[in-house]
Amino acid sequence: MGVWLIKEVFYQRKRHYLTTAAVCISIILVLLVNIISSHIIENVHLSFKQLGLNISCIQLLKKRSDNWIEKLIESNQIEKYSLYHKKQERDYKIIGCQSSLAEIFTFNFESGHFLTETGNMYNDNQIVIGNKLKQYFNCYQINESIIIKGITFKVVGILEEDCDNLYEDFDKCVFIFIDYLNKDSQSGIYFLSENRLNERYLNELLGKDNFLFIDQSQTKDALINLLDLIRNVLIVLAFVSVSVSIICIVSNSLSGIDSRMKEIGIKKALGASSKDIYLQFIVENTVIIIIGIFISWLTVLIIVKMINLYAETKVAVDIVSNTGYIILILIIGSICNIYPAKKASEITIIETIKNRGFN
Amino acid sequence: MIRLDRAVKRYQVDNSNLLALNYLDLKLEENCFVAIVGVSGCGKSTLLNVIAGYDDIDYGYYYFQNEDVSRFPENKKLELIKSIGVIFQDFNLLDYLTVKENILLATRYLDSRKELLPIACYLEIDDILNKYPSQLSGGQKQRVAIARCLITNKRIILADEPTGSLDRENGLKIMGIFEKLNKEGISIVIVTHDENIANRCKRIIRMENGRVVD
Repeated sequence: MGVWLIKEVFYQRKRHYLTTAAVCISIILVLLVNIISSHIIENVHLSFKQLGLNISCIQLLKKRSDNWIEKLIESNQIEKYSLYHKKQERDYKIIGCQSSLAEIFTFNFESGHFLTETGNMYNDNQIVIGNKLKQYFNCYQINESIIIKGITFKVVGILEEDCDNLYEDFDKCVFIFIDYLNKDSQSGIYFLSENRLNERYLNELLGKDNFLFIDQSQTKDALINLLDLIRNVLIVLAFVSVSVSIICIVSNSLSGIDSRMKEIGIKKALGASSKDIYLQFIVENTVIIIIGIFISWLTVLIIVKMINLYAETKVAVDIVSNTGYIILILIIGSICNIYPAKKASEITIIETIKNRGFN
Repeated sequence: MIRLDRAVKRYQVDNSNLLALNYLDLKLEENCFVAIVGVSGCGKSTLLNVIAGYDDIDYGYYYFQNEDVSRFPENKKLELIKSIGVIFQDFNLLDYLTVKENILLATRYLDSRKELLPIACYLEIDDILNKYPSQLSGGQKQRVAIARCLITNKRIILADEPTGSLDRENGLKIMGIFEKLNKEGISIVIVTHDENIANRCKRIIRMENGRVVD
């Protein structure tokens, strides 16, 4: 049965190699669009994070002594935040912050690490310096000491070069614990929030014109929406291409019925029921699509492997979503095959004899 | 075994009715060896199609093993088709299957089957089982078609011009096989216009204008 099926599929379909190739190309297109656009979106998200597009900032314009921070955090379910004081010196900026700032901003280190919570607890005078300040402080390694405003700090981390974002040029910043810097400095909070903050709420909480709210979420949302739109349009186009290929298979199957009159007639004369013929056509077309899917999947994996090998990027294959698309293609293909299979199964022996396919 | 009473089969040809079977009466006994002869268009092939269960009659009765075929539901009609072997002038083998696969194709749709090799040896096609139809002579193809009938243990074989595409030598060989099969209890009904072929049968039925005349 298996050998016959394979022989039947390949003999009957050898005229349809081009259509099968078209199905393969279309499926490859769908999978590649999905994989590459997912990769791009993931990278864009990473870039957003590095740029600080997902970070909001409230900078106070007047010093406050009330518990506005607690209210803000509680009422807006802010999970990650860091209070800060900033002071601009002549050649660099001092940022007094909490160790949690490293969870908000994406810092890459040339050596060492960010300020640690334990360092704060033991009044360990930790400092992290931007890359361009190495020369200024004459400090090229971690664990060296530098003196700022009469206090000796131990360098625990040196940032990588070009570590900047929309908020700060971190190359020219030093980070120390917030307690060291609370006079004559700008104060505020950096935070990550799933919900966008309502300006009216902030006006009520902090008083109008008492703060500056910096939020990039609008820009981020617009960019993400645009990316999603592009991805969806590409996937729809790829699916249109798959559908066109499947319609070609259906059309070939329909036109193939005439040329397969003899075969249908012989089989029915040997005792094949309409159901047998129907199943044969369904199986044949499904096998074509499955072969197409197999070849496509293999090709996509090879392409991804090549990209990862030769390009400076790591493209990951999301098995779940791609399997979903493959199942969808299989379902579309199977549904489209019902009509030609039904047509073929309805042919009677006498019709095949009259058509001279079978004589 | 097979009985047709006042069987009528009409075809619509160019807005006029053509009576392919014209109130035809026919009775075929068990283990018969019959030739149906007549000029082209006399209704021989239509009669064969009706007996094989490929076509229905418009009027009259067709009894197979004393059962009225016109009352058969689809599944029983399929059983009728399965129980009768038909051999055609053009052999009707599938080009993409080997001889062996062509013979065994019949077993795909039937539960009962015989051993292939004894049948192949009997028909002298055991050495060509792995060849494709395009590599065979006409006589070999027809023997493969006969083997396809025998593999599923058919007790009735209808043959529509079985020697029509064969040379005299091969034609005689095929008729020899039919004679042997008939001696073994298989009923053979041959449609032919060749009198020499018909004369080798036990009974000759002559048709004219859709009726049995002799």
